[in-house]
Parts: sequence; structure tokens; C-alpha cells
Amino acid sequence: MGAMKFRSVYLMFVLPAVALYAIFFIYPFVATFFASFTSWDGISAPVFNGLANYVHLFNDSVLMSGIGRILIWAALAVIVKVGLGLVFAAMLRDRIAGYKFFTGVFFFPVVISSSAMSLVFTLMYDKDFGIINQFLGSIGLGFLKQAWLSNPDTAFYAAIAVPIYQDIGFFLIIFLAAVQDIPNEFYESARIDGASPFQIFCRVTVPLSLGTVRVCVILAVTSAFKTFDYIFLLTSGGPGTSTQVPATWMYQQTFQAFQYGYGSAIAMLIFVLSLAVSALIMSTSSFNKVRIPSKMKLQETVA
Amino acid sequence: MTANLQLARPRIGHRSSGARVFARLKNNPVILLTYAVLILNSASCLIPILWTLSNSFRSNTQIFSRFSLIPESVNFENFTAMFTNTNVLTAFGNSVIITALSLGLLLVCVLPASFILARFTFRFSRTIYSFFLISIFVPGIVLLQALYQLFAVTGMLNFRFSIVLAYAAGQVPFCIFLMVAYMREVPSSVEEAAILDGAGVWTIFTRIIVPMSRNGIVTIVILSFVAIWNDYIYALVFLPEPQRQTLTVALAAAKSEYAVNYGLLSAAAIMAIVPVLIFYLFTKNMLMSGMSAGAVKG
Repeated sequence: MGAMKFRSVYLMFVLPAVALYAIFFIYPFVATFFASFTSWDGISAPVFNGLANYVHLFNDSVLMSGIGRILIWAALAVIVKVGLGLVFAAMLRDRIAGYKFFTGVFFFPVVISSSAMSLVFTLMYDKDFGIINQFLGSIGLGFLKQAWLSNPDTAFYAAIAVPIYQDIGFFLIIFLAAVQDIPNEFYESARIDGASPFQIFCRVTVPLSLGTVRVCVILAVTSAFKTFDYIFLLTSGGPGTSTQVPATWMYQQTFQAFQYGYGSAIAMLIFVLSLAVSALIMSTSSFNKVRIPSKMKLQETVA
Repeated sequence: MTANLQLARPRIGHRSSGARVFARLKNNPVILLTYAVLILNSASCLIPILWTLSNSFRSNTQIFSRFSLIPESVNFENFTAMFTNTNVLTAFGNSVIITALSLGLLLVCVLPASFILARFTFRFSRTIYSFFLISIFVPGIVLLQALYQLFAVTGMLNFRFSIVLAYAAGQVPFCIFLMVAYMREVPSSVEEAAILDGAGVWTIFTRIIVPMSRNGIVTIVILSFVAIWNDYIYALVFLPEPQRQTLTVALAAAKSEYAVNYGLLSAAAIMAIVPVLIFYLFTKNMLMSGMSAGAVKG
């Protein structure tokens, strides 16, 4: 690689990073793994209890419905974030007038903290003056007015709508880079053949950005699995346990019920679920079929 | 890993003049629909923030009386109430210090390590590199309680800057990954010329590799800044005392304490959003290209 000879003294350059990362990243991960096999209140010595925590995971009805919720969340996140991200990217691909304005505005919510966004949305969801109820009232749907975050039927969807809404711009930016990498010839020949914009989207844009779609599906699913902030800030898992997800339940079990061992098992579950889903999506072959070969015959692609 | 890490440039196109746009709009329903959708989504991105901004200047009575994106009068009462009654201002300062220290520590660790891993091949170079990469998929929340225990046992929980170690360590895998890729792009001929001139490894690192990979450094600093500044859960668990809270935690605390003082809460939200907006206006392009590069390569 480089032109210099390596001397073992140079390992001093690597040492700070290795030490920091080993102590504050690898060690906690390993510790969580071991703690998940113990019964531990966080103060006295942990007691080894084998797989008891993992067995308990399956008998924990709150956790199980939480897993159901994050699966719904993941599905909605994929549909909305990947769907809208790709549609907006296709619309903006040709740098239409206002390109900079639209990308700038769409991406801005991404950099706002979960805490500030949750505060804004708590106000927006307010029963009396919140913008959402006022809007419903003004278009004649006043009967839908409700306290979105304290009604058990709507609280979960109202809460996950915030991170999903906030992330669309992030996916737009990823897809924008992908669709702008698709050679112009594909679009030109499709237009010459008389393809409608909808056909171009389905036959050119989507197939040729499947590799990016896969990455984005993984990002959407794993973020649904691990997100803590929005649920905790908007509903704290309530009313009752109607919005608990594994991440908030782990926090509750660990720092409020002082079940460190069980909390660690939930943490490992979150990790394994994210890893398994990522591996599953990576290995799905249907994403691999279409690539952009350098000398692909154009007629075949757009026919 | 010869991926092109250059910033995204306009690849195609020309800007149509206003008149031509309108001519095209009339004849083309698809473009009309495109603009309708884009404008609708812009509104959905802007209205929540504009509404909050407007409410931050209005009294509770005004907020309840009607919806308005323009305040009846510009009244700073909510802001003064927020500054005197909540710890948002202190927390803002804490966030600045903690984020700055974390970024400093991160760079001190990541730059030299990436330099060695990118420019040298030695017995364990691949092993060390993989060691950093294995955890790129581990969500920070998994480490939460073990980190808390580590800080509690070593007494670091009483030290207000312990969280800096957790933040910096959390960013290490991803930053090493990006930085190594950027530093490998530096042509070795520059390095060879420096060696002929008698430069040592430290000189090559500080005078050649770091300046030549500054795009990468700016990218990791911006991405890590956003991640650390916006973090909520580490700050919630590690810094519970009001005088040590970061901005994100102070906002949430204000939310439960002043639940019915909507003007004050709007002012607090604006206090959090405006600095980010200013940061965003300056770094928009770097942020966008960095985030998409990071997502696709990560």
C-alpha cells in the first residue's frame, strides 16, 4: 500500500483508538452478553441462571406484543421511507427548477434531534389546539379529532409517524445519489420508445436502483428495531403498555425494575433480530439479479 | 475499496429559465403533478417548524384562540420565561462542551489509527481493521446498561465528562471505516517524494495524509457531530442531574414540567432547532453527500 516500511513503534498510532474502542464498545457488548445469562439487580453479585432469561423472553407478553409492534413499524417504515424516498428521488433526478430548495427542505428534518422533534409533535398532536386536530376540523373531518398520543388505538401509530416522517429526507438523499448514477441513455431511449413517466419509474428507475433499495430496506428495518427515543419521549410506552417496544421495555426493565440480567437478554434480542434481518435481506437473491452492466443492450432493458 | 469518495457534483442538466418552466408546466400534467407533490411535501416539512416558531412568540390564550403561522405580535416573553425557569440555556452549554470534547477525542484516536491502517500492511493490519469493523452493526442501545455499570463501578458516573468516552467510542467503528477509505485515496507518489526529502512518519502523517484527506475529516466530523449532538438515551442515563443535562434531555424535562405552557415549550423547541438550522445551512452539501456515502458503504 504505502511506500514506507512498517516499524512496530507505529502501533502507538493505533493504540488510542484500540483502547477506547475495546474498553467502551467491545467490553460493554461482551459484558451484556454474559449478563444476559444471569439474574442481577445491578448492585449485588450476578447469579448465573442459564437460559432462564431467554425462556422468560417468550413468556413476556409485553415484549412479545412489542416485537409485533416493531414488525408493523418496520413494514410501515419500509413502505413509506423507501417508497416516498424513491419517488421523490425519481422526481428530482433531472435537477428540475427548485432542485436545491426541495432537497434542502426535505433533508432538514433529518438533522433535528429526536428530542426537539418529539416536543414539536407533542404540541402538534395536542387535543385542543394541535395543528392536526385543527386541520381535521377545518376540512370537515372534525369527528376524527382526538388525543392522538393518549388514545391506545392511535398512540403507537402517532408515535412512529414522527421518525418515519423525519427520515424520508435521508432516504431521498441516498436514492438521489443512486438514481443520478443511472446512465442517462436508459432514460433517453425509454422516452424515445414512448414510455410514460410511470413506466420509466417502474421499468428503469426501480430495477436499476435495487442495490440501494436493499441497503435502505435494511436501514429502515433496523432503525425500527432499535429506536428508543421517539416512543419514550412521545408516549413512554403508554397508555398502559400499549406502545411498549423492545427498546423501551429494555430500558424499563433495567433502569426502573432493576432486572439487569433480563434487560441484557432483551438487548441481545434486539441485536440478534437486527443482525438476522440484515443477513436475510442481504442474502435475498432477487435484489441481485439486476445490475448495470457496462454494455447492457438498451432494448432489452426498456422493452 | 477504491470507491470514489469525491463529493457529489451535479452530473447532468441545466437550469431552465422561469419562462420555459411555466411553458412546460402548462403542457405537461406530469410535471404539474410532480411540483404539486414536491410542494405538498415541502409544506409538511416546513409547517410544523413555522407553526412552532410562530407559537413561541404567542401567549397561551393566542395559541388556543386560532391557528396562525404568523404571530399577532413579536413577544419575547416565552423566551425570557424559558431562560429563567428552565435549564435549557445551561444544557445548551453542556451540549456544546460535551460534543466538542467528544469530537476532539474521536479525531485524536481515529486519525492516527486510520493512517496506519490505510498506509501500511503488516502482520496484524487486517485483523485490527476487521476488529474495528465487526461492530458496525451493533446499535448503541445494546451497550447502554453495561456502559452504565462500567461507569458506576469505576466511579466515573460522578465525573460529568465520562459520557465523552462513550460517545467517542460509539463513533469509532464507522469513522475508522470512512477515514481508512479516504486515506487510501492519497496517491503514494506524494508519500514517496516526502520520504526522499527525508520526512519521517510523523511529518508524513501531519503534513501530507491529514491535509490531503480533509474532505474525509470534515465528513466524519459533521456526521459524528449530528449523532452526538442529537443523542438522547446516553445523556438520559449517564447525566441525570439537572445542572449536567444536555440539551436533548433538558428539552424532554421541560416538556414534562411545563406541559401546559405551550408558548414556553415552543420557545424551547425553537432554541434547539435554530442552531441546528444555522449549522445545516453551512454544511448542507457535506452532510448530504456524507450521509449517503456513509449509508451505502456502511
